[in-house]
Amino acid sequence: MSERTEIRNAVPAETPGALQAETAGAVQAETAGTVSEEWTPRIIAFLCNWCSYAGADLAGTSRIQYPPSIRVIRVPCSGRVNPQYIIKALADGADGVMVSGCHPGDCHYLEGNYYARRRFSVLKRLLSLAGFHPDRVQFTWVSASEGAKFADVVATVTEKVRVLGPSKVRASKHWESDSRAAGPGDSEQSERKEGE
Amino acid sequence: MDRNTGNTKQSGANCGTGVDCEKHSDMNFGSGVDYESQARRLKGTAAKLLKEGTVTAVMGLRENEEAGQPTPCFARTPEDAENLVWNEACFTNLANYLMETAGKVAIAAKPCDVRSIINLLSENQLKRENFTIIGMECSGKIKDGKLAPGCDACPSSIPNLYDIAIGADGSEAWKDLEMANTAENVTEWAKTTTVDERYERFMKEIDKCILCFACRQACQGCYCVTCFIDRKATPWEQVDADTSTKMAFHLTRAMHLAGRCTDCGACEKVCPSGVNLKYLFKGLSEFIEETYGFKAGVDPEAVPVMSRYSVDDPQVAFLGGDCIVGL
Repeated sequence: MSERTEIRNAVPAETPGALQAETAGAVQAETAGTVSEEWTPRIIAFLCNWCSYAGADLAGTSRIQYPPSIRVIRVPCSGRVNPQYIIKALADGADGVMVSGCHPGDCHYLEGNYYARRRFSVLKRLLSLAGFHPDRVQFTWVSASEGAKFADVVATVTEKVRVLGPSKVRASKHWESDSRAAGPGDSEQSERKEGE
Repeated sequence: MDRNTGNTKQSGANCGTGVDCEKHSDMNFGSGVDYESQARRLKGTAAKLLKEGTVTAVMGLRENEEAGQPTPCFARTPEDAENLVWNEACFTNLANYLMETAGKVAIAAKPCDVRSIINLLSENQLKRENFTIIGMECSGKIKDGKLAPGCDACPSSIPNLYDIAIGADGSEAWKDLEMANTAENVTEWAKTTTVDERYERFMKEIDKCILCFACRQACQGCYCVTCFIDRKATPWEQVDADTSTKMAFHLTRAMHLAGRCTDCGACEKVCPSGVNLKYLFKGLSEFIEETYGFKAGVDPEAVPVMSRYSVDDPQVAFLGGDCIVGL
């Protein structure tokens, strides 16, 4: 932990611009548990179509910079995010997961995010009990008008995951021998061949 | 050692894990229950119900030499009722079978079975008028010479919903026996461990799993016609026998059982490779009781906790909000 604490201290305050200099091409994930300055986590972001996705769009059209760490998956509502998606992402080696939806009370479907809020609270406790650091899974509310907040949130989440280092699932001894390491596409193709 | 005086209570060290401690090896659980009288009364009650035609079948357990333990059986005639047994090895949760039976039936149910039945009633999976509950008083069953999984967390020896009562001595009166109550408090355990330690424990259990899905089959809450793990509708739902799948299966199942697990321990009892992941379920139950004030298997009229919400739900575990108990 001491090593990680040093890195945490070495990083400037959580500003949206702190990681701007990094580009996706220059970044390679570390295989071991060490965190290098260049490493950028891979974060799966589930964004609600009506608020957070539009917020991300606004951040883009406003040319606000944020770290290139998120892989966005657009969903109709934060209530549509099946906990299985989040578990699956983590079990398959994502460094972090972020879910963002409309503010409570603002849901396009009136109550989707209320259900989601309860579900995510329970899910976060479950993941914590199973040994996934709570900082790896982040839930937040970003509205369509909050482009700057979206950039801020991504920077914060990225930094929180970055100090934790690469996913423990990827670093485990199982990872190399498991077929999943080869990528989901490969085994799918082989299954198809067998079927033919 | 006199098991009825409670002297053994002082002998053991404080038990955190619920297994292999002095307290458990010393104490003979299931004490205070007269199984012979209970079995006699059960047979009599079953024969009477079948004779009267109140029910078409009585669900219970019968001796099965091949299996080495009592297995579920349906007594359909008064003569069949003689096959029913009731002893310290009768730990199978029969609630599952209620959903698959047509017509009026009676079920011999322990407190854990009744909690499961209540959970199924609250989820509209059962109709109360279709079955008669023969409540069996129970202070814990024995499996492999130890208290069976789940029995260490059982709150009471009396079923909280029943039509016919069979007390510990075979009479109609409950004796309200003392329970073991030695199960670990998972929230307390989590507070005193690091994420790495918790991950290690999880991985240790996952490693043993052979993905046979026996835990799912035995679970009262896992009644989906098509389980998520069998669906394989999209490429990302593929099931390879690897660590990722095991993780996804057990975590998703725990999530599906959140606020629905009645702590009957059936998953652990049937596991062929000794996977002990019940602590995840128990931890979630503790969290839900603390945060939303809901306990599964108590009120058959209650709306399940995960299918409702409150506008005032605490904003926990969210970015910028308070992360509960700093786990």
